[in-house]
Amino acid sequence: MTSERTHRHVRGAAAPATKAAKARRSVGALPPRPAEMSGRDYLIMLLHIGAEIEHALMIEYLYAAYSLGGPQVGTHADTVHQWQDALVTVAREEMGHLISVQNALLLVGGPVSFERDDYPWSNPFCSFDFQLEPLTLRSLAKYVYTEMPPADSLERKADKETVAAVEALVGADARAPVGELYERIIALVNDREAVPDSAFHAGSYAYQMNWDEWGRSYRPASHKPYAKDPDVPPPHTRRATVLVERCATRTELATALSGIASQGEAEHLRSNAKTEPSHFDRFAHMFRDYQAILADEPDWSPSRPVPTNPVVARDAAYAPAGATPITADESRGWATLFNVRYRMLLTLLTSACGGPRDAMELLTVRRAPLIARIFGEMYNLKAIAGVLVRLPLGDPKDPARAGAPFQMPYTLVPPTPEVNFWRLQRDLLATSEGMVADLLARAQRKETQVGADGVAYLRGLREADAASAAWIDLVLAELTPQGPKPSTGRRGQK
Amino acid sequence: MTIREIRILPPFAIGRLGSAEMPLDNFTIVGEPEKPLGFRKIVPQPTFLVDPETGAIASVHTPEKIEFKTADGKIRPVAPFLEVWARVDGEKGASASRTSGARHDGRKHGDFVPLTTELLAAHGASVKDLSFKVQVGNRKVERRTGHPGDRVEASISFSNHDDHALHGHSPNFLSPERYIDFGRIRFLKPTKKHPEIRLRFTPAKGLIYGPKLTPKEIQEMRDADPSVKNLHVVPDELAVYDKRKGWWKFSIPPAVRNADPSVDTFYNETLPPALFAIIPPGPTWLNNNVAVSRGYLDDACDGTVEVTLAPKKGEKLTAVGRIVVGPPALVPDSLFVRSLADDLDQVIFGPEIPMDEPDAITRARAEDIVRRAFETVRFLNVAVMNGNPVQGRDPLDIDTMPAEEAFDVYRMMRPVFAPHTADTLSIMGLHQKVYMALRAGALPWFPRLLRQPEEVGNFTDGGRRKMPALMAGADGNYLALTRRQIDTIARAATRARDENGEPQMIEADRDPSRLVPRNASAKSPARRAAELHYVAEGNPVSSRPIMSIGNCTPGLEVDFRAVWRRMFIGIELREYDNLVMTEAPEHEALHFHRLLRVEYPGADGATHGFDTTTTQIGPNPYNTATESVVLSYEANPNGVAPLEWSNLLARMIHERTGKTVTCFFTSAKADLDNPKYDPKQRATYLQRSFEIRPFFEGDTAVISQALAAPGELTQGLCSPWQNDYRECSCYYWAAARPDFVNVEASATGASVGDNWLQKVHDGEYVPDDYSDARLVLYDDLFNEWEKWLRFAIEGKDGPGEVKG
Repeated sequence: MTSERTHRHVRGAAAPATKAAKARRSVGALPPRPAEMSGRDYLIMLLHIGAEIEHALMIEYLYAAYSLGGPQVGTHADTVHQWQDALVTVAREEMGHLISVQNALLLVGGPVSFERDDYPWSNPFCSFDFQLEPLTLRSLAKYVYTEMPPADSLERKADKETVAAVEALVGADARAPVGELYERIIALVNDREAVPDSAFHAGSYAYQMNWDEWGRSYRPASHKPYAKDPDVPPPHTRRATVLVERCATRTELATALSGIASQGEAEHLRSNAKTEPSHFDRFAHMFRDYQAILADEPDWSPSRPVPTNPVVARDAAYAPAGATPITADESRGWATLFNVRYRMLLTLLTSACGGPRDAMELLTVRRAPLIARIFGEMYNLKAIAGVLVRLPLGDPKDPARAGAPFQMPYTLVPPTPEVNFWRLQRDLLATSEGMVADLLARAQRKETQVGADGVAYLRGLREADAASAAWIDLVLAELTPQGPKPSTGRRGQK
Repeated sequence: MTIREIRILPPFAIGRLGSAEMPLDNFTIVGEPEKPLGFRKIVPQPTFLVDPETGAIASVHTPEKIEFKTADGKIRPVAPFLEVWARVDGEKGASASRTSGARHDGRKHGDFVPLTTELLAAHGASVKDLSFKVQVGNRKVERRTGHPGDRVEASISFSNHDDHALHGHSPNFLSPERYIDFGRIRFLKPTKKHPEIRLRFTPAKGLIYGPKLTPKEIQEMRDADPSVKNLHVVPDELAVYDKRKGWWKFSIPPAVRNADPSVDTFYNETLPPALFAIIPPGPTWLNNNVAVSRGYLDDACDGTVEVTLAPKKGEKLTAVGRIVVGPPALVPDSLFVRSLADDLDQVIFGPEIPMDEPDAITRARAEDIVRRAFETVRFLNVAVMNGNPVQGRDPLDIDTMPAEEAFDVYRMMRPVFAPHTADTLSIMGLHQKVYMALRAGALPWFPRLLRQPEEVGNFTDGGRRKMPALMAGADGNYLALTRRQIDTIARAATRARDENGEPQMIEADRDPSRLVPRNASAKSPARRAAELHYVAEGNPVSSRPIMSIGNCTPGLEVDFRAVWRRMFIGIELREYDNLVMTEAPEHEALHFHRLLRVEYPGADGATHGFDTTTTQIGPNPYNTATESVVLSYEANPNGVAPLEWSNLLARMIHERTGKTVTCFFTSAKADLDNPKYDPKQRATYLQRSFEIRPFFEGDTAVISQALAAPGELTQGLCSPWQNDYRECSCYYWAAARPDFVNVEASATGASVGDNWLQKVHDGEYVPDDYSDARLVLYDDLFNEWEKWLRFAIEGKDGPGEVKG
């Protein structure tokens, strides 16, 4: 795994989770640059770590969001729905960060990366061990901690109290916040000796990801031209909620990274009705709501009984330490389907961001279906995750439910030439098709815990995939003069 | 027992033109569970065969398949049946209703049952006590010329079972003997097997009428544009119009402004202007806005059917229904994102979803909207509509919304979305995945991406990318859903999936028995909606509002903008803006003033109000704070855009029907400035109170006759209607009129297919061009519309359609 190997460069100097480390907020607490790496090389590695962390945070927030709901939320359904919305919104913004970091990598000539380790996984640059878990007060405290600004910048009493409560709950386990990684990266970007001007490839701007493609309209609307203060925020706050930053110069890169780093903590976005609240604002608000509910109902939970770190495995013996196997047959089928679609998403993303560099016109070929497929797979993951949290983890009589496993594939290195990338997509579709067929057959035999809506979804997926497969066959026929290779069949991952 | 009340169901029936002798067989469309993303399946339904001699239903059969065109290329007209229903009371009445209902599949609407000969007898009456009156009109020419003499009307009363022709006469026809054939109406003879009281309306053939011209005059038209090789010539038998009466060579000087008091003559133009067959060259906007009329009229119409039950003893009862005539529904297996049914439902239920609506129903309706969204995208050439260059040609030359913007508000032409991401199959596929996620139980996550009705004039990048995108609404700006549709999605987004509930599905034809609560009161909105969407025996789905266009500029079946003009009792507004056109004597001072704002006290005690206009804004690279600028120009110095009435008035109608509201009008007669409401000027405005007219007749689902007289619901449509398939503003309607057909994926990722209006369907897309003979042009349609308007079944040319 790329990130495991990355750790070789940072593990030796990893900051221990001690009280001294808690007093962090200093770049010095992070591991130093290894002697074996040049400045540019180190910058690329740090950007990879940044991408990995953004990816991990996004998944954690999504998993927490998917866990929310169920009959036990009782009268707090509206509140829980708002939390779900907040978590998904922040996850969406983390996706923007992830894409922006890919742009940074393209600018400094590094390979794009959507890699990350499976859990359990820790990184000295990340506040906490990566862990998929249902939303609890403790897990929420970790999110608040991860996104919180420096303590001395807090103004509101409520925020200070929240931070104190969060520190008390999870501070002992915390390491350096994400902001410190970005501080390190920005310092490096601004270090002309460590990273010379020649490291920046302005020409990459043309093929960096842009907001028009990736922003999906998630940004504050333009204001009416005749709007006056205080209706209109100052120009420096006119930024997209989903940041997709492109950069052509050293200065633009530093600015973009500052924007990413500050979106969670940015003081000027806080409580401003004219823009979106910051990540910290959202999570701190949720935390206070949660505390208030627990004061009256100490046993209340906003989450379904979903596992921590779910994985597809027949039993615990096959699951890594700290992971929870999904053992119910049908649930495992859905979870495997989830992993296949997740792999499709990640490979598509890697291709879309890494794309051809030599001929600009090639960037537009097959671009529309590629981008549509990426967002389509995100919707698929949302749908399958929603089904999984309603399915049993193991014994159907047990209240424990399953969850989206988000397991990483063995590699995301894009196969070359392009024809092999589409072969991979075709294989993944075939694999998915087999799983869908199995799940539908189970429904046909009435051996299913999934309701009519889950079955309707599978039928739709089957139909959409058939159209996708037919199109990929066309692509393969074009890219392979002798015609498309036979499909690998629909039984891929049994 | 006593019959207390009678009704005509459906209260709004759409007939569709066609010259085939046999009307279209009955069909519905249903989603296929195994293919939830596919086209709706056309399912033949029991079809009545009416004996032409007796007028009785001779037989009922369910065809194996639906044939939209005959082997010789004629389109089969949609000829809807209109049923008469009755509300009965009394001890015997209840049992008679039950008996009657039981005999007819238990059909009931609350306490209404089909009126039958048996029921009449129980009431002490017979079919001889029934009489009918039908009034239809075509006022398209009158709407352009402003001459009442150009109104074409047909009126007929009868009580027998003959097939009565509807002959439309006009004072400006050559003689009282000349007429336009609007079709036929017949009171079907009840039989033992079919004892119900019903009528059938058969629309006309789709012929073009006009003036009788001399060979010299015809030659002059030919000489005007020699490139038009097949100039349509109105045959003598259809040359009914007296060319001296004004419609032949009717023209509005291009420099004259609408509602401009500084000119001597006021021309009450339509929007879009012209909308009639002109002497070549066309279209007008590419030819210095010169529009000289060929004097054509068509045989479309709209009007009312009235039934009277006048027994010798007892009360005389009457009921009314509406009929309208439009072109064929050419995409009969799809539904589109905003239909006339959505607008009518909004009137019935109001702009918001009731809090007590079951979550499963709200979710199902949200899913239905998304489903219709991908059905709409499927027929759009998204790359073209996005404003991308087409085969290297300037996108400004192609009729799209971004191009419309450039012409209308002078925003620089620019694609709406990133050009290389705009593709039909890709975008449709994405919509389908949204739909699937909703079906799986995900909550809608995209309410904020929906365009609000007030945002239709927002031409910034963010404004243009709101959903639905790339299509026009009734105000000519970007289409918004109805408020009720928007609220449906917003509400579904906040309602968790019912863990134990069965998911619901909304189909094109609703089962009224599931929609009308048993104890529904006469005033129940659910009951009114059930009547509106009533599936009369024998009527195909294309006769119902769900298959009629809802984003009308002007429309295909009706110009629905016309229905709102008299909502404020005492004044009449122009159908597309806020100008007072006619008024009661006490409001004479308001003539040609503009309605700017409406206010009324809300239930919460606060004053509710809304402006009738919005401000057009566009991108502004200079002002980094607002990023926008008012799109103003000489002809519109305030950048004002009137808002469409359907969404604008929805809340007011829901809250204030029968009550008064306060209206604010400009102090000056309509001026060049297209003013908007300015609170600082409030004291200067003319302030009047008006009562809000009920939209429907009594407790029925019949659109008020005071709102629209016969001919008025279609008066804003093109004359002839064939023009609508070529004119501006119809290229991007979500309607049963496709844009992109025979669409297939290609290896490059770009969807390939045919412009529906190109003559040869060979997969080589021909960009829209008003002079390219590879496309179906005006005279092709005037001469052979049934050949060139090709049905699309499953997105492809239907069986037997010409390939070119």
